[in-house]
Amino acid sequence: MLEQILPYLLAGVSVGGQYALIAIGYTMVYGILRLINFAHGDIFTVSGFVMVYAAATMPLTLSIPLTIVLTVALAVLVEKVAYRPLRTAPRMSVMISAIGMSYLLQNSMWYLTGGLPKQYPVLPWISDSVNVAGSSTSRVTVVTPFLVVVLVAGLVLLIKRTKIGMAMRAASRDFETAQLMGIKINNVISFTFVVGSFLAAVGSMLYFSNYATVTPTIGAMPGLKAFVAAVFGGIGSIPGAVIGGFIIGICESLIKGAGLTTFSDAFTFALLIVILAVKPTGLFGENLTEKV
Amino acid sequence: MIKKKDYKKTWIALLIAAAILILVVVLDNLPSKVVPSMLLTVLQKGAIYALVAVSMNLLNGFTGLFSLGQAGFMLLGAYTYAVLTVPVARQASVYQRYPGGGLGFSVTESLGNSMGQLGLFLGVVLCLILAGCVAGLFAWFIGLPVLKLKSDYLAIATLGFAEIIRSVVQYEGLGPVTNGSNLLYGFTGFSDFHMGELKLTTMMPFLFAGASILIVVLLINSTYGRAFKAIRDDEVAAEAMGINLARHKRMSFVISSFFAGISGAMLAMFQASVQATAFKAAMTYEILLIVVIGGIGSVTGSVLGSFLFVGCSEWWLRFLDNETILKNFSAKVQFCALLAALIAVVVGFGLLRLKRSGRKIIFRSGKRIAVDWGPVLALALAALALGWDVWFLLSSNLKLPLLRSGFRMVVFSVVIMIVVLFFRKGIMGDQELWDLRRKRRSAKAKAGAGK
Amino acid sequence: MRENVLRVENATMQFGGVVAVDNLNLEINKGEIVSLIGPNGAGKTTAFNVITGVYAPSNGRVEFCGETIVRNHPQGKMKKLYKGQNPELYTTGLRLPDTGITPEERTLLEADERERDPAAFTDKVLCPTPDRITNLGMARTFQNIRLWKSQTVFDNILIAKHLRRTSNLFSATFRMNRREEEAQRADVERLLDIVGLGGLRDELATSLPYGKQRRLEIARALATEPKLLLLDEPAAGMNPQETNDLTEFIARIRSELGLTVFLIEHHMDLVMDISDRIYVLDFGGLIAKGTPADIQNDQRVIDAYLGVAEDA
Repeated sequence: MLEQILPYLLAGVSVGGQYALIAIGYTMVYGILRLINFAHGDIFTVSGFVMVYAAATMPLTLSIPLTIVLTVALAVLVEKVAYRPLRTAPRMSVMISAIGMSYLLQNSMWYLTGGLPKQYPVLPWISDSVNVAGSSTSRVTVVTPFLVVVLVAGLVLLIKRTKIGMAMRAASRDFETAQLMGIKINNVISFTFVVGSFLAAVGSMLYFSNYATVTPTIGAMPGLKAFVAAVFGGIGSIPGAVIGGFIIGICESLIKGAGLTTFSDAFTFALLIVILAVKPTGLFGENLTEKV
Repeated sequence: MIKKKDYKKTWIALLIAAAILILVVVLDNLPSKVVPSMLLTVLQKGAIYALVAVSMNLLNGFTGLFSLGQAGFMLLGAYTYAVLTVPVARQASVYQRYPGGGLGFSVTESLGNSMGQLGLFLGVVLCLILAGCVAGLFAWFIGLPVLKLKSDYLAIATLGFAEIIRSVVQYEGLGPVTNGSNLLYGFTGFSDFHMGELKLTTMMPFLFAGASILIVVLLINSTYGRAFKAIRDDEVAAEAMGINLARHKRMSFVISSFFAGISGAMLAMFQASVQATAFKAAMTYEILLIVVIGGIGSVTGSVLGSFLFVGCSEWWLRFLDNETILKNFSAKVQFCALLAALIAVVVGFGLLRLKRSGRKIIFRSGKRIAVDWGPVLALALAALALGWDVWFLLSSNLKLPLLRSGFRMVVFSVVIMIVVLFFRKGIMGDQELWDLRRKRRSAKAKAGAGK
Repeated sequence: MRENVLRVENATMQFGGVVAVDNLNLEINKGEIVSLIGPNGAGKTTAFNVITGVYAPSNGRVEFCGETIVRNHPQGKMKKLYKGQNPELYTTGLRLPDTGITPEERTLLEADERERDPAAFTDKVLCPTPDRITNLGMARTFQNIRLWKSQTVFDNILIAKHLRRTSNLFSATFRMNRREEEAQRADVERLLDIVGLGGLRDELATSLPYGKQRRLEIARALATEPKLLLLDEPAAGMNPQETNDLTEFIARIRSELGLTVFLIEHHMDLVMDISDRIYVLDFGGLIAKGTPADIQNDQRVIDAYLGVAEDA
């Protein structure tokens, strides 16, 4: 029994870790801007494409850092162009801008790549196959959860111990007061996007090592699922996003294992609706009430 | 006095509607040399999208509920319609993967056989209403848990439900009805309508969409519509003034989904086939963008926006997708002049805006001199584009750069982003066409009183 | 005995560690103008919110025109909260306290309780949403003005007429309710005249000056055809002239429309001028009640407003 489940469990943990990395980007941006950054999933895809093209022309030692740098630059650019001008606008406008940005990124990717799926480069070591308790899987599956834990630990330290981390916490608590207290809010927000997209870039390397092909719209679904993970864990909470990511990844993988592949996406959203109905703030979210 | 005025207005509206319908019928029946077939496509699809955009606007713009489930309800409507109207004789071939699949009857076929065109019409109307009812029924159930949520949570939950609907429809177990993830086709479409030799293909979507939009407009201007707007403006105050939030939100959600269902069914009729994979979140986003372009809270805006959107994406921007080689040097001169003029206009507008806002490109900030980099960057880009334009004119290359498959959508999404960022109110803001006239009149009256 | 309109019993409202309203007991009779005053943060607006159904109290009962409209029902977290006095009276499943009364007295009290509220001692939850309470005939205004921003003055009042409609969705959409619609519009015109906003009917609500926005809020509340009008700081931000006008206005609507008025206010001139009776709240609890003259001479009220020296 366990032997049958194990491969799916492993795959679930791996994809869950990747969701977790993307989810952190969502949850941090939402924590500060109260914005679902719909373009985040597409930035994740762009990162995949950049890697495809970079790896074709230069060695991996160069292409990996280049991919990360370009992904981060794009995310910061998106924030500057699409979100910063709307800082005082109603929330709905910013969300629409995010959707428009996602549309633009997808269409641009389609245009630049010709819309054909691209083969993701094979990363050495990480793509090797290994044996875990009798079932063979690629090393990325095993590495992912550990890498996620390390990155999240680093991130938590960053937020708890550094000055910029303190500024981020202050901004997510009360945007306007933080501004009045002399925090340069634009820098904080840019930094949030830097961190979020860095994790998304790492996530994309792990994800596409497993899936092997990149298409312009491939990021939309994992992006949405990662957002669900963030909501599930309680938006604004980083540990919440990580736990949510793992739970969703594992459940999805087990459902696929049970032969109900059609329902794996539906399940994720059903989970979302259940959690929103039962505990609207997610597992670790805080309650906010409106003053009358 | 008031009543008489109302009757007059009604008559004018009816006359305009009749004129539009007649015009569409005429366009449909002119030889294809005179009327490009693309125009008819745009008109049909535009009318369908107008209805779904209005339905989304009812929810997002008038009730203030940010829902992203439209594609799911369209899918329900489309499938309901298709399943009900696939002709019996074709059911075996449509449902070939599920022997014995299909309902074994077809509403439009049986009514059409017994009563001719009138029966066909009645059958389609009946099935459209049923399609809307199925969507509305689902909306009622979905609304129970979902409508308690606020803004973005509501958006993401409705988006989630749309995805759930899509995957459930594709479920193998439902195959005998929905044909699984395969195409449904062969059902009654718009092209089956004609009056003798007279084609009514384009008139039908106008008729159905027009009637539906009319109902929405009547609703918005009724006491219930006013309550919706109160909920949008201030929920707490609306509740304190005795408006039952849960009930009115559900009402708006169900009605919006009802019309989304109808428009989904019409989309199926237009495409002559339907497949669940087409009704993705991307479709909802497109509809949302139409609503934004037209103006959130404006029905006429949504209608104009959808024709513009469909026109641009299907027709006017098509040339951007084709690799183009200019015929001769004079064509090239024309192209370059046009591009230069375009750049000049854009830069001119930008400078005008800057001047009006009172900002300066170079200004003093404390003791040092600072530069506003935004406009500088924009000017540099414009100069670069202009330089390239000149270079292109002087070079011997006749092939237009950038134009190839996919460029249309890039340009299109850039335009949309510009609207979203700089013209946030869209074409109409929250005004209606008929408001504009009244406003001008009242402004005049005020000016007169001032004298 | 005068007819009772509003009666609040042992109302207690706790948020986390803060007891915002502590055992509030008050009564308002028909035709009275009653004020609720107290220093900032005394819990006045929270009391309003409990009465109008915005919050479910952690203990207590609200009666309106002899009918119990709110009876707390501690559920979930609320069970652990501070409940003030006599929680047994309002908590479901429990009976009156055993101590200090004879069985006969208890039976009588219970019967009395059942008469006032047939749902007493059952598991029925009684915490209706604000719209239900407004439907019963209680309307309010807000401390920070909450008009419908995109609507005109006329429409703001017209929308408040929505709850008295008899038309359903179908008849309203297809304009089969023309007579009702016309009656509503005529009513709105009348209200506009009463509050003196007749000339501004087509202006956007938010374009009005502050004082007129407050008047519009009152007009909007009146449109719901209330028996009891709750005004939350109607004179906030008004100059003395406007305050005087408002005082007259409130007195006039009381006499013309036969209303009962319950108001929170900081302008003591207005309060002392207009009130029949006054309740004073401090730190959530009632510290004084009585006629304006009583209140003016009450030492505890003076202390609450001016503060007491620590060593005094």
